[in-house]
Amino acid sequence: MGDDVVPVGGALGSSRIDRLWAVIYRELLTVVRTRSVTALSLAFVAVVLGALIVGEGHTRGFAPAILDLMTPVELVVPLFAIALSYRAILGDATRGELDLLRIRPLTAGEHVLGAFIGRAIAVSVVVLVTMLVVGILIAITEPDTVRVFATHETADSPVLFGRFTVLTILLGLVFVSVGLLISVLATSMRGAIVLLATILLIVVGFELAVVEGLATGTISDDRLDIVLGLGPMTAYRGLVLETAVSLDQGVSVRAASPWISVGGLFSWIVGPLLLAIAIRQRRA
Amino acid sequence: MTETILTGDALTHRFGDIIALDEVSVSVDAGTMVAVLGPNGSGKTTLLRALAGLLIPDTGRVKLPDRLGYLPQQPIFRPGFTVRETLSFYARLEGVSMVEVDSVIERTGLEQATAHRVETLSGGMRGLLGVAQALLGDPPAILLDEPATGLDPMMRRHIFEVLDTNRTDGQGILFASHDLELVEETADRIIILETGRPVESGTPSSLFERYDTDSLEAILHEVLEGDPTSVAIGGDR
Repeated sequence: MGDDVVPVGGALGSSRIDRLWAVIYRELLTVVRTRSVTALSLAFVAVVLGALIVGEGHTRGFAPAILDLMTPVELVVPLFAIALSYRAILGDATRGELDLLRIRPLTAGEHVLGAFIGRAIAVSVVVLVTMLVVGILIAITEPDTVRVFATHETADSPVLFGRFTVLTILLGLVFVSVGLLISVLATSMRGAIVLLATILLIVVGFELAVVEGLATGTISDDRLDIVLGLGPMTAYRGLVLETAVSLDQGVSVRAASPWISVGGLFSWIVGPLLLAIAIRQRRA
Repeated sequence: MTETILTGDALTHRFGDIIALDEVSVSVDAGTMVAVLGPNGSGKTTLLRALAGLLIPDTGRVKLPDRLGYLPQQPIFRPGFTVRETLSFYARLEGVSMVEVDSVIERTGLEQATAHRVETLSGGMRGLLGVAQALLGDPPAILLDEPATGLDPMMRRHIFEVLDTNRTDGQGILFASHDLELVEETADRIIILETGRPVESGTPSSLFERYDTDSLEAILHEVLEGDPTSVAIGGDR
């Protein structure tokens, strides 16, 4: 509301937590009751299991399985997370239901954050269940000798797979946040698809720029850690190689700076979310 | 003295070259019902959106209560949710209890549809759900954009009876409508818009007296410059 619209009168009856929870609950119910989401989730599970079985990583242990899964997961998790989130607010806007939310005491922050948490829970649960199935498959089929929880280098371990799962969920949250940004920026489904393509081009373009920078020497080796932490995919990949793969080989491969990469991933979660709140606020 | 609940003062708004609102002033007092009439494209919806705070007018000032009920012209709700779940969601945002949700369901006659998913509702039932969400929490002012659209005559009458009860309870109601018969019966004041301009306003009795007729339709034909049966766009005339 601008300066020319002056609210007068009584107090509001709902708390911030009530309103936030109402939005979270609505988003969760939407996800659970949307058939296309169920189909997408099953497709996600099928792709991950398919990649695992084709690569036969599950017969060799957790670390080889992580290496088999890393690339397909990098592709499908962002697409899955965006598919689950890009319509959250755009759908309300195109139906005209956003007006009914805007006249109520629901702030832009509560709306966007509630939508994020609801969709993030959904993505996290699907990734977690999928990885649980993968983990069980590995535990059943891999050689007995490596089926131990180990904390030292040289041993394969479900702990490594646990790290991989957590990092994959973080990658999912990044793209839920990006999906919500698309959701508030777009004014139509077609616009959303254009924005999605643009963002994916930026992400892929960043990767190509890093490769180009390394090849031409524009990016020096000592700055590579920082550069890799800036992109969501490079940060994820670096973290997986650094924390979930290299340890088992007993070789310290400096794939990325863990702190910079973690910071990069969190920035990619928080940044688009704050931007989405600001845009939703401006449109209110 | 009657309390003024909602005011719009000299509201002007353009969409590009089109003048949607041209110096429109309106106020809604507690316990009164104001009807906005006018042909399609006359600025009724823009006026309601400006009064609801959903559209910032280019010039002019809106003073609205902290809580407001609003019914858009064609309410569509998120699919996958039942009528009760949809109302519960909005109630929760307002801090309204489930007892009140059930009361609104009963008042609007939606009892039989509470477990139905919104996407399975007929246009009329969706309209009723829209009215129900606008009534939640008994806001001091309610704005309704063509609340009778898609409803059968019985249901239309029922909705206006519900609104009449709300008016008696002290709520201020402003609605846009094409249903001249119901406007005649229910409105305390009428504003007629044409191409964004207020061309006439007053109580039904004062208008009847001024134009020496007992028909709103006759007044519209008299007042409107253009053909009331065609769409007029602000800036065209």
